[in-house]
Amino acid sequence: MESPASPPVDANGTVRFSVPATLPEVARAVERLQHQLPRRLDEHQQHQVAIALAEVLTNIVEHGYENRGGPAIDVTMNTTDRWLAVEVRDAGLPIPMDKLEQAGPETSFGFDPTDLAALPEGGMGLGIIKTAFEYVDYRSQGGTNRLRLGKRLR
Amino acid sequence: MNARTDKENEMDLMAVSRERGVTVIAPTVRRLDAAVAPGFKQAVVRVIEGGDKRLVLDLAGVEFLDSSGLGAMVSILKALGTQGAVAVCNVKGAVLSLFQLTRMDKVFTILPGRAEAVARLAG
Repeated sequence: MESPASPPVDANGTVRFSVPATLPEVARAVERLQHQLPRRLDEHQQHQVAIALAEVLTNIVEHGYENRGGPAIDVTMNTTDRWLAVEVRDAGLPIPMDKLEQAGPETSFGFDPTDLAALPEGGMGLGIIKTAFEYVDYRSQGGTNRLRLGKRLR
Repeated sequence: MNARTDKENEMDLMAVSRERGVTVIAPTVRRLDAAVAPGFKQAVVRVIEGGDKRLVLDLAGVEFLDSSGLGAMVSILKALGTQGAVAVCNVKGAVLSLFQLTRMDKVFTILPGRAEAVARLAG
């Protein structure tokens, strides 16, 4: 049975990254992560994951740590039969829960393409994350933020 | 001492050429992301303020675009308003995926190559 529960995590084959909290390091980490993505994702899905992970990490550097740097960001990635599961931990300011809840394909990108004034110039990052991944869970506790993302594998 | 001006630094981000009354802007960075998007946007807005109203954004050299880079392109579209036009060309790989993911492929005129894009705007 498919369930919307958390993607199962298997300790085997876990990919771990520790990403220093700067934009150039984020770019480097995303390029490395791209090479570790499961081949069962087609090219477009691999791009979606890479784009969304870039948004996650950039958000932490720019908003979580307010561009002042901070402890390295921990990223782990697992592949199971049904899921690509990514977990990201940081110690910055948390993502506001209401913003995360509101973001999504319809709310973030449901604009009228002909209404120039209504098009978003920023704030697209969370929408991208919630469009690229079917499963998104975010917890902030004791100064640590933990984002869990899951993408279904076919 | 670094005596370079902001304008010189911005121009490092892109090459500007003109064909048939159309301005072609080609970013020279492989990644148009949060690190360079504000400078890129400023540089293009300067070009628009200089009087260029028909712009082709040639993304041939861009392998990765993030929401900041895309946001800069939306700002460019808005800066031109109804007085000008933008076409984007050589969109591929992860750059195309971002346009599709955000539905911005419905907003921008995307054409295969530079010649088609220039022809569309020179029309």
